[in-house]
Amino acid sequence: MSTKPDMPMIRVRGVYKSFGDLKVLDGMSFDVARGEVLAIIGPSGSGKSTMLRCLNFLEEHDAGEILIEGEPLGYRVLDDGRRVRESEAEIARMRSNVGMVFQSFNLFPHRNVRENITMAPVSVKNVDKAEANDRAEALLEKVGLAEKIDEYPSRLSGGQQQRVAIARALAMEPKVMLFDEVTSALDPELVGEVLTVMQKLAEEGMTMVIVTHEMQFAHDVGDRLMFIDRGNIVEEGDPTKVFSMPESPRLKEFLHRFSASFG
Amino acid sequence: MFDVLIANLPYLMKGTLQTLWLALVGVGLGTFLGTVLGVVSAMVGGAVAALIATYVFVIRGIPVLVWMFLAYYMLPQLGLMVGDVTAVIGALILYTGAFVTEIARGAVLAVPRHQTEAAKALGMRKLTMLRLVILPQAVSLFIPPLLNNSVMMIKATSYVSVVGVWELTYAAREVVERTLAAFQIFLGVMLIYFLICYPLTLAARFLEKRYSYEH
Amino acid sequence: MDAILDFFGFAFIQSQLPRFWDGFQLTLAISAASMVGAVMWGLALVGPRMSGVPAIVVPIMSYIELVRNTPLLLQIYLFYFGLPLLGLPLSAFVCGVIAIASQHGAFLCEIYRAGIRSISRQQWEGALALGMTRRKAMRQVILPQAVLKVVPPIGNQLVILIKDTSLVSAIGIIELTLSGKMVIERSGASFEVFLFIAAVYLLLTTTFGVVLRVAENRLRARQ
Repeated sequence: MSTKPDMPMIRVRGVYKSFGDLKVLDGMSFDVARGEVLAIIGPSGSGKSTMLRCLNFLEEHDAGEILIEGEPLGYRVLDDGRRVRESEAEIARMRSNVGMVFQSFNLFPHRNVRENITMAPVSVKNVDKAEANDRAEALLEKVGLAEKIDEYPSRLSGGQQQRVAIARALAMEPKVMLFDEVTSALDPELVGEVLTVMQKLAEEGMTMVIVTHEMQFAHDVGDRLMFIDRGNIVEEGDPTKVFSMPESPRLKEFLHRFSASFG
Repeated sequence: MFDVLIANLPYLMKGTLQTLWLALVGVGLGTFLGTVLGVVSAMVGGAVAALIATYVFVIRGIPVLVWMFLAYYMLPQLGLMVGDVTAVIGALILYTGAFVTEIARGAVLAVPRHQTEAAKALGMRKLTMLRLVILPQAVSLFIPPLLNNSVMMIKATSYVSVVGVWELTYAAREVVERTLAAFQIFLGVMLIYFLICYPLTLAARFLEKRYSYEH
Repeated sequence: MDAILDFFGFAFIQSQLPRFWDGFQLTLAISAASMVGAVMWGLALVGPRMSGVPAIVVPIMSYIELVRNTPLLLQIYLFYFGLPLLGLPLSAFVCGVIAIASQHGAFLCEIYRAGIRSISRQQWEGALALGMTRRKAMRQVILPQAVLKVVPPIGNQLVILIKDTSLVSAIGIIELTLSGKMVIERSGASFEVFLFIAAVYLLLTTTFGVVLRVAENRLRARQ
């Protein structure tokens, strides 16, 4: 399966998702271009995290289509409209191209930092051990944790764990990075070090989709801002414009509540 | 005062060896069976898990002694000309397996969901995830109850004597019937079982404590 | 249909039902008596076990560890063959019940203890700070919480107890298991008898489990 350079990095078309009776994604469609940084904001329960998790098939969309570089993720839609689930091997291969960082870090507690980073490249992509190790060292250097390479996750602060988690995802050399409220579980004084790493990544041209509550960060780093509510894209566009001149009442109310609580 | 016990010790030691052998084969193979079934049940789910759950339910709801009698009477009638020892070992394996299945399944399911999600997000397939992420974390939850279960099953090997298979408890009854020294012999044999089982109990307790500190 | 039933020996089993019924009743009687004994014995042990006085704790702990780490079958033999030597020729039934209650009481004592210890110090301190005496705090604050926590493990233990009553067949009590063996050996019947026996046990333990769960839910709803 060859990749199509003319396709956007991510294409989402008419994606629906319900949990039981609760409709979480109500026909979402958007593209993310190569090298673009998309910031997604929205109230809790709006479906923004679910949308992000769908981009790595951790949640399975009920209808619609998600393409990564033109290749279908999870389900292939046939010409007659039927959906066929991809094989586990194919899903795993697609996932290895999409890096993900979680709110709760999710490092493997039984492995040290080095092993956390080298485990997947070696076992999934058959990267040579020495090479994986070199890459781990370089990535830790990049996130500013070179000296922690032999520590176990439980000995690191939340901010450090999250930076290791970013390095772990980058070690797979993904084409896209997904960030799911990665600073929400951190003490305020540790948020900055994680955002700095993410900003550096964005500047290097990584394609990123960021779900966040950090409005300032979304404004500064996002090439595009998307406001989601009740499973719909309510508003999207240039961050400065969206923040300064919100059109929909829902976004106005959302931003108002934020500025009220954060002054 | 313990002269009768000492005089019969060589015979009882032979019985001890037979008990250890029954335990090794019955509990060992049963543990292997249960570990595989438990992990499969937790990883696969669906109809396979329901089938395994039925096995666990049926086995655990019935006394192991009844399973031993059933195996003892049934296997020869089904044309399987196996010895009495093989029949009761079969019952021990099935019984151990049912309990270990539950332990293994619980240990695998106790590994937090976000760990498997992180592994999936890194592109790992199920077997890789099992080997590198789930099993290493499940093992600390698996070992202590497994040791306790082994103690339970080692004690249960004595029940084969009721079906008529010779081992330590059977030997003890023989000696008591001959010498009438019930207290000396039964207490002495209890001590032998205790020496086999208690280290396992202590190990289970130690590991449980150590693991609970780590988490 | 009749042929199939006959293949599984249903007609024969039906003809033997009175014998199985007698055995079943004995199994019920031994289970009930041992349960009461075990629950009470465990309660009697747990106070001294937690007393903190070494002269009391050490012997009780030794007893509990010994009983828990040796086969119940041997303990049954010890009572059955040993007590007459002490001039106490108790019936097989009584010996069986004593042995089962002794072992399961030891297990239950540890379950009670774990339940009481699982109630946090803060609860104790909260109660004592309100001016309750230790006794009152135990009765009104600690025990009600502990009881809820220990009901499920007690239930599990009692299901094991029911299954363990099959062991008294070894001292000649014709309960359910031995009634099966005797039917086979006297009439040359085949293994289907034990399939039937197994089904009866499964029904018994399952029913008991369901009753316990209902009782537990009621208890939870009331608190």
